[in-house]
Amino acid sequence: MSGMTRALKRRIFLRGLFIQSGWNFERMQNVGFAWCLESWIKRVHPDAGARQAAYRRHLEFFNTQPYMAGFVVGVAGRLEEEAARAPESAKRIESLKRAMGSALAGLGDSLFWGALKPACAVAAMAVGWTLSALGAPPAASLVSSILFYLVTFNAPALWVRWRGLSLGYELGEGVVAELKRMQWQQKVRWIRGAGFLIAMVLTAGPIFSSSVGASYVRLYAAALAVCLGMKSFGLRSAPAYGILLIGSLIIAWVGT
Amino acid sequence: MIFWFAAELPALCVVAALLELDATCVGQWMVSRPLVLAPLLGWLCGSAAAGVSVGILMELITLDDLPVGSAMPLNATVAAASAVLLASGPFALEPAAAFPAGIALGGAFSKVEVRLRSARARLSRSAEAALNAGRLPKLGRFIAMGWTWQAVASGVFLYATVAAMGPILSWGWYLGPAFVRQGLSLAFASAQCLGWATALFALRPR
Repeated sequence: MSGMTRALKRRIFLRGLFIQSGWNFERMQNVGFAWCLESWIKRVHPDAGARQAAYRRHLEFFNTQPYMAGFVVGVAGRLEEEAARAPESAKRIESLKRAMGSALAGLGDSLFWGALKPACAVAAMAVGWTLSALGAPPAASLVSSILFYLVTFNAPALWVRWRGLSLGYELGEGVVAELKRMQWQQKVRWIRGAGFLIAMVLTAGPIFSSSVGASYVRLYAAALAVCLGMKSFGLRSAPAYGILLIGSLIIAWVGT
Repeated sequence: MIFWFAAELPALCVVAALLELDATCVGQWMVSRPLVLAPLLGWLCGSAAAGVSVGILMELITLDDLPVGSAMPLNATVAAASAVLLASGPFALEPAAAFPAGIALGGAFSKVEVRLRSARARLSRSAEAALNAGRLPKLGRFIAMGWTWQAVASGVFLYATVAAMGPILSWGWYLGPAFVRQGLSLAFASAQCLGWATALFALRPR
């Protein structure tokens, strides 16, 4: 039996939400990926030997950006159907999965982790502060900003997860070329640009606030310059805060 | 105090541990991000203001810590949750002291996560062993074990560290030298600069 029915797609989509539950350093998402495809494998391979071979194939190394995994699952399902008809075609499933996983990870990381997550976070903070400035109760501003963050991030993420399954199944290995035609890098640039503008406005907010004095503005600008310097040296959150903490303790000690 | 350690803190750790699953294991809907989790925990603990300030700062500071491949940055969820829990309860710390403690604990938990991820390779090997024995592996059970280990580890870690460190840090805050309090307060006040620098850097045009 072949074809991705709506019930099968729903089941695979739900299992895809757990694709990283078995994440390990040796084979990364292999257990999660194999579990996603389990129903499909059982459907297309009635023979026990072919079923075991399919499980073995999908328990090999696999890793990609979790939201993009649907594309690979769709392609792998289609290839499993082909393998059920022509067993010799099973040989290319593993290499295709690896190649697609890497290509889609690059796209997904830059879109979701590098652009959408930070842009949605700063936009959500802007929503909260705007509502507060307009006189909304603090709880309403907070809840609105959290809902804004969750909705703006999850709407495209869930859509990509759901649509990825059908696109992967319909287009097969041509899905990567199709995704490249969608000009994702341009979308990433737009999202990052919008996020950067919002972050600029929020960062400059305290400088233009009427309630702060010139000395505060100088201190704020100096601290911001030091922090931007630390980030440009590639320091991550914990070491950067560690340096900030040590510097503050020294300033306080010298001051006393 | 007994009610806090015996009932409230364990319940809050369960909530935090369940939300922490969202960071890697289940969904990735962003409910584990500090901006969402910290205000919620703060509201549940009765320290909503601490939850909001910790949540916003931790969210900004960790914006460019990317969970890519085998990279193991600071666990922002555990960092935010422990900071909020330390700033609550009978030994409530000042957010200026709870925040760096949370960052340290988030960093420590990422080492626990490295162990967990190494241990999860056993699930993969068990699946292969089942196939070698001629049986189909029960992958659903392995998946459930994967996220159960993660939830138990983060819940136990949070409870143990917050219960042990809360009273010690609280006494240390008042008994320690004044310059430490001033330094911690200065670092907490300037953390927003680090947060905005991180946001600008993460979203800079390339």
